[in-house]
Amino acid sequence: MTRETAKFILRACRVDGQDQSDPQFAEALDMLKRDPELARWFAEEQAVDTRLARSFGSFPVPPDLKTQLLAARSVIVVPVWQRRPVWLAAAAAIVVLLGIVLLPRALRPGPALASSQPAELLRLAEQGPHVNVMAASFPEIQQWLRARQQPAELALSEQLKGQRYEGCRILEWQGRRVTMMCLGLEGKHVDLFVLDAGQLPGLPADGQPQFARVGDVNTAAWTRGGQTFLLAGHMDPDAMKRYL
Amino acid sequence: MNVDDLDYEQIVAVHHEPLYRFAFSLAGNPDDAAELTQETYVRLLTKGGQLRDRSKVKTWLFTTLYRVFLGWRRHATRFPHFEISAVEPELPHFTPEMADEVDGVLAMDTALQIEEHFRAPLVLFYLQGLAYKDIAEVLDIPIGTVMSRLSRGKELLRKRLAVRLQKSAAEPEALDQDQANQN
Repeated sequence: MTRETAKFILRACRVDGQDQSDPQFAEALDMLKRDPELARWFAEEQAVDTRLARSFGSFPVPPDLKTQLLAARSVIVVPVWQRRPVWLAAAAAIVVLLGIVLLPRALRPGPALASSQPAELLRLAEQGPHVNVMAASFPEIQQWLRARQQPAELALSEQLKGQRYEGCRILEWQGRRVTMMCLGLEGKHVDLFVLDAGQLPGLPADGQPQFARVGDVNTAAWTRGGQTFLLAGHMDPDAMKRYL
Repeated sequence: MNVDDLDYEQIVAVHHEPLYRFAFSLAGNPDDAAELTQETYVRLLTKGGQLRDRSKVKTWLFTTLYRVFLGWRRHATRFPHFEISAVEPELPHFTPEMADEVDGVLAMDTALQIEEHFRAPLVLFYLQGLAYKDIAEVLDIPIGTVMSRLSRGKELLRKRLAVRLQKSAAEPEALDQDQANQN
């Protein structure tokens, strides 16, 4: 091993001595005993690294970050459809596979049915992070949406706007951006999706909500102010009505 | 294993600062850095079940944060790309005494001038003393690549720090002004 090769390897050696027993460094570390110039170089390299590690470690962190992160535990609720037991997921997979094999051509994709679209959207929401940002109120969510050029003036009821929110996320669905907000209603975690008008076809123009069941989740979908909304959660439809 | 077993409060206490600093080194601004850190902990809360080995929490958090960043970057143009100049002037040897003059803001600010593929392993190395093997796992790159990026990244960081220290020695207000402009 040349001195330059030893330097190359030793630059990855941490200053706390944890790597002294790593075989990857053994030969280069052994060279230090026989090469005083290399030993001097390594001592200085470690001295600089120690100081730079201290510098990076002193970069200021927002003082309220820890509080926000700890608060997340009390507001972030894993959606129930993500907590299904493994056997249920396996059974669902088998049903899906059987469906693929057995369903006649007539049931293969044609024009999407309005009732299947909430299920598609909920499945999409299961993927990736549940929220992109934690936010406790509707105005905070609006601020976050505006910063991302996403519509923030939402034709929601005052009852919904006044709730305690948990977070927000932007999804890509059918080539368009969909806002998803998480909030608690009557102690239940619900997700509220905001879509472009017409993304859920078949909804009455007069804003009357349509209720459907997707798995064990109830959904309510309605249009208002040129926007389409979908509320999903383990709530009774009658309870949902109070917030639409 | 769920997040209760992992003792969420302790994980926040131990790891949130280095995670935020790593996030800042990727995103380059405090808002996105805080958001990346928050998203990482949200994933711990919602997907902590994927974490089978408690001793891997630190690597899991850094890996998750880096993947979140890559995912966001694919869909956004808000993260700046810093390109380095091909011309590197002859500089004085960077000594431990010079390193003593480097504070956290200057270190981070200078690291942000380095291309991301050198910067990410470099910051992981300095921040939490991650071993080269852990860095390879977090960034999903081969060990040999980590070593070469660390070697080159350290060289680039020291050169840029030397330039900034030289500049501040010649014009004492220049460094403060540089940092003020960055903020």
